[in-house]
Amino acid sequence: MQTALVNRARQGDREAFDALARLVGDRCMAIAVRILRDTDLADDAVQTALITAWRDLRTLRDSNRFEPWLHRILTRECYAEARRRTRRSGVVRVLVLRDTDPGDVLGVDVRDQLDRAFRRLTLEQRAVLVFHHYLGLSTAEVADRLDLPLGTVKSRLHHAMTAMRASLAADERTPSLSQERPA
Amino acid sequence: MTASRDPDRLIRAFLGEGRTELPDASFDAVRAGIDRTRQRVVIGPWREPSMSTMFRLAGAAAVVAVVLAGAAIVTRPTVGPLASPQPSPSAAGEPSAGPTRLTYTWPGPLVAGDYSTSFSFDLDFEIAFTVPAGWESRDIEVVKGAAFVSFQLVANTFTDPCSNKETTPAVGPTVDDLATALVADPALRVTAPKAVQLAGYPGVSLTYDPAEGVSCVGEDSRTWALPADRILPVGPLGPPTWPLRAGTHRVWILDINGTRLVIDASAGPTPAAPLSAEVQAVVDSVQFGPLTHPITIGACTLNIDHQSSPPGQPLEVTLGPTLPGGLNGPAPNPFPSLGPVAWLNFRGEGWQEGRGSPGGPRMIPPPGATTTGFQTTTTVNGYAGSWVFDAPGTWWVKFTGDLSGCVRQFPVIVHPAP
Repeated sequence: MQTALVNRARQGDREAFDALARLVGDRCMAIAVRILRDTDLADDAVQTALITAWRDLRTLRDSNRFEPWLHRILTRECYAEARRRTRRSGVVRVLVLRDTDPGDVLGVDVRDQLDRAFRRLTLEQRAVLVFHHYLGLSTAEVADRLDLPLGTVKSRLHHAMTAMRASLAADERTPSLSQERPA
Repeated sequence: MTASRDPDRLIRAFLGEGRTELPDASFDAVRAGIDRTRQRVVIGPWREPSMSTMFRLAGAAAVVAVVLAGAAIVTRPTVGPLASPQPSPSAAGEPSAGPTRLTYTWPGPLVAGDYSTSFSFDLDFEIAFTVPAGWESRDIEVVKGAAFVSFQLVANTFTDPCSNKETTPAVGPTVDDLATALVADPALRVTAPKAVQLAGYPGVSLTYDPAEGVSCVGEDSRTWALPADRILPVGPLGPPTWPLRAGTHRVWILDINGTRLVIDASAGPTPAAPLSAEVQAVVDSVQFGPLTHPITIGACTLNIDHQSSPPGQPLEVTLGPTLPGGLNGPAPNPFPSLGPVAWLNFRGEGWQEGRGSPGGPRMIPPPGATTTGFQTTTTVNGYAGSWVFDAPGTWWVKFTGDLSGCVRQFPVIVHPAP
């Protein structure tokens, strides 16, 4: 169904693209929220990515690869949104987390530790982490989706996970971050 | 560490938290956005800029900023003011005195007169021509009603004007390759190519019109594709493919010092004799000359840290293990991992980022180059960064800002290390 919609949208069918956007929009939002840790920024990034995808849809060579292609655009837009955010205010808004419940795997402290560690990661590291651990893609699939060398994906993943684990291991210890620029 | 403190499990749980639905209002906004946005067809993806930081350049020597251009020529592609011909530095009609008599600005109505332009292509030459009264300019053509004279680079043809499927294998790079492909195109009725010269350059000419039974004729159809890596994105709409328009087209396929340029002209499906004569006059006036007016559009400036870069001229830098004093001062190479490089620092002012239409700087390497160059950019307080050229040849730097309508395009000639 998705491929058929892509093919129709490539012919300029706006209704088809609208339907396509509603098929893939939620997953895009989930990815963007996790990379940016900000629902407003994520919303903007998704909207921009979808409109960009519509505009450039005819550059997509393989209709079956729409979603990976869209995710690449989305990731780029997440980076851009974060830069705009930095330029506009420099203020990092804190993600509103759900209330803690007894069955919650994460306690408030752990969540806070992880959140602070995650925000210290570069956007590029965050993206790799999200695609690998949230979407469940292999490192090779992440490399393909983000158009990165496999070694770069593995390196970013290693640094990101090291930093995240370090945040849990000891509050007082400074996480080992990569040399990449924090977002 | 207990099982509940398994860090990887906790990290995955952490990543699992958060919203997973896009609000309905956002879907509506997307729909409104696509209603306002025309699809574009490009042949290949733009190379995306490497987003890094200027911090790596902090140790570079002090530089001298030279303002390359700050002229506001057109503020928005679709609402630009009338093009105003400037006094000619050389008398019109002088043979071979150089084609550039007036600066061609676009799009918009054209005052009758002489114009020169590279249109929206990164040509290393300019096309000069004369238009009568009543003509307008578009991305790659000048038009009057249904009549037009267009100047194009062609990357490939399509299997069908109704389809977006390109011909495979792709059309070759020569004049004859394209002529052969057009003759073989079942959607076209084509006359036999004839060897010609236009403005002193060799090529072939032919005519074509839509073959009988072809259902897709008009602006949404496709005759050929423009090369994405050589056309400047024009505003938010992007580069078009060339449609299959009704009427008889006269085509010249020329070899301009190795560049295959196509002139496609027509007086429209029901041509009147005076209009046909005007089309012919425009074509007859065509001359080719050196590039003197790299494209600048919009109220924006681009400052390049280069000591000797007169406005409007290609920048020349030298590739080498150490950088010359004229470039960035006697500083060590800040990019040792890239090998021999030359680089230019830049700072852009007046650009705005658009929504749904990525802008910013892009580097186009010389034909045949195996390198893609490298750039750092930051958008804090405007665009700034560095272009790093790691191969000799003529590079093109394109800088676009979507909402502000700013476009800058210019060549950077990188010489081999001495």
